[in-house]
Amino acid sequence: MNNTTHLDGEAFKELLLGGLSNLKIHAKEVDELNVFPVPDGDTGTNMSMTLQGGVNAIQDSYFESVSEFAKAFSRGALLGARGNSGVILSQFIKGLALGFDGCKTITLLDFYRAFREGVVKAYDAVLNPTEGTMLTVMREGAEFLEVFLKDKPNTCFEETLESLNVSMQKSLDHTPDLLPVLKEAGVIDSGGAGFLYIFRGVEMALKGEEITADQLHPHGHALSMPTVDFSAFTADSELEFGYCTEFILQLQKSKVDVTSFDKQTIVDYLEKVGDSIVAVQDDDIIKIHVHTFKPGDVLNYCQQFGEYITLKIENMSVQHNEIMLEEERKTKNKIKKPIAIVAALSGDGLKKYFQEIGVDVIVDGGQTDNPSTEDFLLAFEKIEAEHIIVLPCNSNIVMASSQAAEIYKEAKVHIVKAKTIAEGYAALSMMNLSLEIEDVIRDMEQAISETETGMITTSIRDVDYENLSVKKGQFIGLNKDAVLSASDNKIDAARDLIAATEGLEEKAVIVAFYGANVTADELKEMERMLKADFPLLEYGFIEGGQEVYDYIFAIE
Amino acid sequence: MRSFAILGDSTCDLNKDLRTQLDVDYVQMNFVLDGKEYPASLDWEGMSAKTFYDQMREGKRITTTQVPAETFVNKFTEYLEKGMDVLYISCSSALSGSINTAKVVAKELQEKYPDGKIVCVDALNSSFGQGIEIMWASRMRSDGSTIEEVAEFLEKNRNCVNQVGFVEKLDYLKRAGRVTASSAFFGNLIGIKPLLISDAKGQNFAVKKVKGMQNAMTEAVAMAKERIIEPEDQILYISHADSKENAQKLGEMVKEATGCKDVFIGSIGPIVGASVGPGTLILYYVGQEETTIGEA
Repeated sequence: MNNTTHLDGEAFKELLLGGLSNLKIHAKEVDELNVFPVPDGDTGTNMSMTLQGGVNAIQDSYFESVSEFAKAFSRGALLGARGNSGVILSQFIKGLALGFDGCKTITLLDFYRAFREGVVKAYDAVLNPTEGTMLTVMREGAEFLEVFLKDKPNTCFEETLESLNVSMQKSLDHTPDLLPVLKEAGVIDSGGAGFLYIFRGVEMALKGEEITADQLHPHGHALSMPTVDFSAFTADSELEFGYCTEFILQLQKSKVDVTSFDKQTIVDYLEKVGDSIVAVQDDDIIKIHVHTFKPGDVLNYCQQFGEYITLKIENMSVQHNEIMLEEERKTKNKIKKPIAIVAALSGDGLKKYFQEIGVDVIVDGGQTDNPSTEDFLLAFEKIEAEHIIVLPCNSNIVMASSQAAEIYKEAKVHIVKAKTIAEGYAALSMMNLSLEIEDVIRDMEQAISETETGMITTSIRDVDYENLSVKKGQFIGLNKDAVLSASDNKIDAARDLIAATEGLEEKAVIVAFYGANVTADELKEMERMLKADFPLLEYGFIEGGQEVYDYIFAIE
Repeated sequence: MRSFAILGDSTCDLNKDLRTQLDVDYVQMNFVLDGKEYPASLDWEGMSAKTFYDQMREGKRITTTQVPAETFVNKFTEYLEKGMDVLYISCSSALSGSINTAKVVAKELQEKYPDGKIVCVDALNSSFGQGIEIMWASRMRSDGSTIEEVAEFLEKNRNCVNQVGFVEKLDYLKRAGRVTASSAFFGNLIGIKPLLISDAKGQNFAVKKVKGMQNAMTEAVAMAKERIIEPEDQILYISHADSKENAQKLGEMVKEATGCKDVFIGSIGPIVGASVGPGTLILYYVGQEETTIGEA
């Protein structure tokens, strides 16, 4: 590692170019993190464009002085600034330029001052500064620098940048705790991530490392994968479990008789200072695993016989606490909300879709395999809510769910009597959970009352009705239990069924859940029919993947 | 007294005729289609509304970018050089960060033009909602109000510009993310038209679900009738995304229900259009001050 303590204009330029390159490599990744303030997925691109603006302004010039360089760069970055993140970044750079004003070369102290100035400018740029964003990451970066430089007045740029980036990574990892929208989406702040990528690039440029996507991979992963949970071991924690200490020791001829040395010497010592000992010897190499409170003593002791090839020491309290935290998370995994929705459904397509439109817990079951009261109780237990609304979605399931509702005492359970998939869909589609529970239920019941259910299936026998005779194997259209249409052609059966629907002139929408056996060509045909024969109705198709019924229509 | 220019941006949906009449100008945002960037022209220069919305219907994703800093620098400088001040009435800050950039640029230019003034007002509205505020500003300027008086008036009254709109398909809105509601509220629902207002913070907020286009129009008109103030003196504004027929139908309905003086119908420009998608209708009127603040 070099020990850079001063930078001139050209050197600083190289660093920023490194920052831009690294950001560009990760721009897509940063884009995908973007949920705040508007989830339009452009943070990484915007920040790259902003820096690119700076680079365009300085590209063909030579800069002896950092001050001159920073001025030109900052002007270009401002002109290139795009998006909120870009504007904030450009202002940070403007602050840097102000901080470097008059500096031909810069020291770490100049860097710190300019960084701090950048943070001030960045906060100024935003109408309502929000914590948990890039602003937090840079501010905490500045705070870290202040302490770090006080502690280590003789440090170099390399060491400082490295530590700064570790610190900003921590800060970034905590952004979801400050900004609920990030936590909800399960991401860290995109602007903050972009900012860190820039400084990682600066660090790499400083150390003379080549910036390529491959080399960066571990870094990139660090962002998306949980790193060590720093909250697991704090200033107040006690060391309960010691350190898991592992190393490979190369015995040294200068220190010991390599051929006669036995690992037992080490094991005897380790038994006094630790436990969980594993020792393996292969000629002049010894591999050790031990749990100890004093890894330093162990290392000093063993070093009298040789030198270390590898070393790994981990605080087991942290690991332990991480496991505890994970446990805690699991119990927290209960669905907590004021109003939760349970529905009984079968078929992967339907289940997935109903979850998408607001069902929290699904009870497995339907037409042929009705769920039990206990199944419902198990579902309720996954929920921590004041109110639970149950949509049975099948007339045969209303009873079991009602019984479960009576038994269950941890929440008020309301059965909204959707007796078909179509009614269940109608209730969910008009659901508005920001209302009071009575109004939510009223809206859902209203939607159910306005919905007719039509289903297409195949007749399993010959039947004669008053106005309709059905042959085995024909397609029939059902509304509840009444057979309203029959035809050898599925599309015709559907058309006649819909046309025979009660109150059709009042309806606005047809939603068709199509079953597992429906082909793409048939869907097209069905769509053509709906368009031509029912031009006043809006329609849409949803892959239900259900068996038995090729189509379930919600006619609303 | 220095005269001042009034600027909107690509979301204000005022066409060339209106802008000429009002003597106002606008700064352009951009939209990106198939990796190519186009200036978001309110007069559909470069790409027709039909082509634009047909591309969306075909499933092409169109993204938008806020007003670039350079555009602000150029436009502001143009008027400052003429010895004029500038009043920029921006798209709602809940939908676009343009006003942030504008303020930063304004600060920059202040050094070079110490006598010039750039005032930025957050319309807390978009489309004709922002447009109505620009019309107010233009009228006040003709009546001799100062730039500060206009800005103050807008900041006091912007929440009285009421919006009620609905989209044909929820997909675009969901993808653009410029709406406040839970994801379940916006699940892949068919035929559901959430009524969208511009809340007190300028966010698009879904207040109510309605089934079917016809019901949506009826509900929107009912809402306007309840909230409108002095309809007989008002021209109402309807913006539409390639859906003129429905816009005219809505216009007739709202005229009959409220007894308003007239209804003006115009096109939703590319920026708002990219967020709401083809088939969208939005009605604007002056009514009770909006106090609702939407939460997801």
